[in-house]
Amino acid sequence: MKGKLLALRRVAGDPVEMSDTALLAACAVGDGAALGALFDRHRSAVQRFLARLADQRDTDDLVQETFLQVNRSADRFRGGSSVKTWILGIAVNVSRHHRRAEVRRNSATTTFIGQPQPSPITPDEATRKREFAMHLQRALVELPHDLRVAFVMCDLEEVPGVEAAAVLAVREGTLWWRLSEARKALRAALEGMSP
Amino acid sequence: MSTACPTANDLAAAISNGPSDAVRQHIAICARCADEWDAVERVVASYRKLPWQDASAARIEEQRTALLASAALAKPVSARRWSRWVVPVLAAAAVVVLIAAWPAPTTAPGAPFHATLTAHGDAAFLRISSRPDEVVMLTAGTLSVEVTPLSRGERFRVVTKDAEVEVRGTAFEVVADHGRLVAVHVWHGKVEVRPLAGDPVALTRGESWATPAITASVVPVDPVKQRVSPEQMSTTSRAEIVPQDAARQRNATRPVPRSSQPSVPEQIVDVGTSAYQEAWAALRSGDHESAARGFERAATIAPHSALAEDAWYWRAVSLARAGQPVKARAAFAAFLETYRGSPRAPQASAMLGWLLFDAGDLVGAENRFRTAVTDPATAVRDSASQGLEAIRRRRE
Repeated sequence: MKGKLLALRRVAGDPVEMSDTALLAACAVGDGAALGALFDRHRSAVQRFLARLADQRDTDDLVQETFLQVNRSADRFRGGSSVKTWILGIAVNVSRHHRRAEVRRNSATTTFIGQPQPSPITPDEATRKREFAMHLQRALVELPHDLRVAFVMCDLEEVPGVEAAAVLAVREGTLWWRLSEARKALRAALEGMSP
Repeated sequence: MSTACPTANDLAAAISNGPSDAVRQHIAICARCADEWDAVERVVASYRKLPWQDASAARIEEQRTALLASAALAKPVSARRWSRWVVPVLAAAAVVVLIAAWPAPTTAPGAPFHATLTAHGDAAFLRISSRPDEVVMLTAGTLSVEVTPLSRGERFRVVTKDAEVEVRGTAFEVVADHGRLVAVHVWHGKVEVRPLAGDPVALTRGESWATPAITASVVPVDPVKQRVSPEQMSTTSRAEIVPQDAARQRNATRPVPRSSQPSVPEQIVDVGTSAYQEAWAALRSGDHESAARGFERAATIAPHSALAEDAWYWRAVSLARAGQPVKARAAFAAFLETYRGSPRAPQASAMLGWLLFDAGDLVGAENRFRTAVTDPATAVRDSASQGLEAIRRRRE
C-alpha cells in the first residue's frame, strides 16, 4: 500500500519578509525558519551588546544562549517593547547568569586589541589610541552590572528608556538613576583622558 | 523660564529622550548643567566609536546551525500550553491549508524534519539526526521520501552501509536490503547517489539507479520491458527497477565496481551509528568535548560506513567549539586530506582558515580561504572572502 503525507504549507510567507513580531509568533509554535530569520536579523546587535557587557571570550556562547532563550520564551512576548529590545533584555539575563566578574576584569582589556586601524597612524598615536580604548573598556567593565546594562542599552544601543525599564523589570525612575550614575562614573574615570 | 536645575534623573532622561523646552531653556542659562550635558555627550560619543569584535562568518554559521539543531529538538512551549484548544483549531485550519497547498507539499513550519517518510511493508529505517543536517539510515525495505526545499546550509541524506543518497527538495523512493543500497527512483527533483565504492550518480525526474548485480543479472534485454512507471515502482520487484529512459541508461544506471573497501559487519555499523547519535546529542547539549570523543569513536568503529566522513567533520567542529584550536586545526586538516571531494570540504577549509588566522598563520589561512572562496554556497564564500580581507588588513 502506498500513501502520501502532505505537510502544512507556511501561510505567512517568506521569513525574510515577515515583521519581527510575526517571526516571534512563528517561533512560539516551533518554526525553526522564523528563529533562523530572527537570528540573522538581530545577531549582530546582540553580539555587539554582549561584547560591551561581557568578556569577549564568552560572547559567542552568550549569543547562542540568548537566541535559545528567545525560542523558549517566544510565547511570553507581550509587545511592551520592540522585539529587538526584548531580545536585548534576554541577553542581559543570560549575561547576568554567566557572569564571572573576576575573569572578565582580567581579560577585558583584550577586547579591542588587534582591531584594524581605520587610517595610517604613527606608532605613538597607535599606542595612545589603543591605551585610550583599553581605558574606556576597563572603566565600563568596572561599573556595577546594573549600571553598565543601563549605559550600554540606552546610550550605546539607543534603546528608549521606557522600553529598557520594561524589559529590565524596573521603574523608569530607577532606570534613569542607574543611567545617571553610570554616566557620572564614566565621566570621572575618563577625566583628563583623550583619544 | 525655568531656573532651577533639573534633578539627576530628569537630566538623564532629557539627555536620552531629548530636552523638553523647559530643560532647553535652563541649559541655555546654566553653565553647570550645560557642561554636564556636553561631558556626557563626549563620553557617549567616545564609547560609540569603540570597535567591537564580531564573530567570524564561519563561527556565525556554526552558531546558527547549532541553534537551529537545538531548537528543532525543543517542543514549542505554546503548543503544549494551549494544545487543548489549538489542536481542534489547527485541525480545521489544516483542511483549509491543505486545499490551498495542494498539490505542492512543504514542511510544516518548525518541523524538525524536512522529509516525509512513507515506509512500505516492513521497511526498517532510523532517523539519525534532524534539521539542519537531516540523516535517515535505511537498513531494509522500501522508503518513499518527500523532501521540501532545503534552506541554505541544510542537507538531507538517506544513508546505508555502502552508499548515501543526497537530495535538495524532491520526492524519491529508496530500497535497501541488509543495509545495502539496492535501488533509487526519483519522482521529481534531483538526487545524487554516492556509493562508497564507485562514482557519484546524478538522477533527475523519472530516473532510477540500481545495484550492478541487479542490473546485470536480471534486467530484461528488451528496452520496452525495462520501463517501469512510477506507479508500478512500489509494487514491482527490485529486479525490475531500471532507468525509464534508455538513452540515459549509461548515466543513470552506472555499474558499481566491486568494492575495494573492506565490508563492514552489520553489528559494527550499528555500534558506530549509536556512537554517532550519542555524539550528536552531546553536541546539541553543548558538551563539545564529549561530542568530539563520540564522533571519533563513531568514525573509528566503522571507518568505512557512510557516516564516518560526517563523524570526522563534526569531530573537528566539536573540538573547535570546545576551545581546543590546536586539536581542531589538526582534525580539520586530516579531514580535508582524507575527504578531498567531500561536500563539506569547502566549509571545513573556511573554518580551518579562521583557526589558522587566529593562530597567526596567515599564509596557511590564506591558502585555505582561497580554496573556499569560489564555493557555490554563499555562507562559505562570504566567510572565505572575509577571511582574505582580514588577512589583507592584518598585513597592512
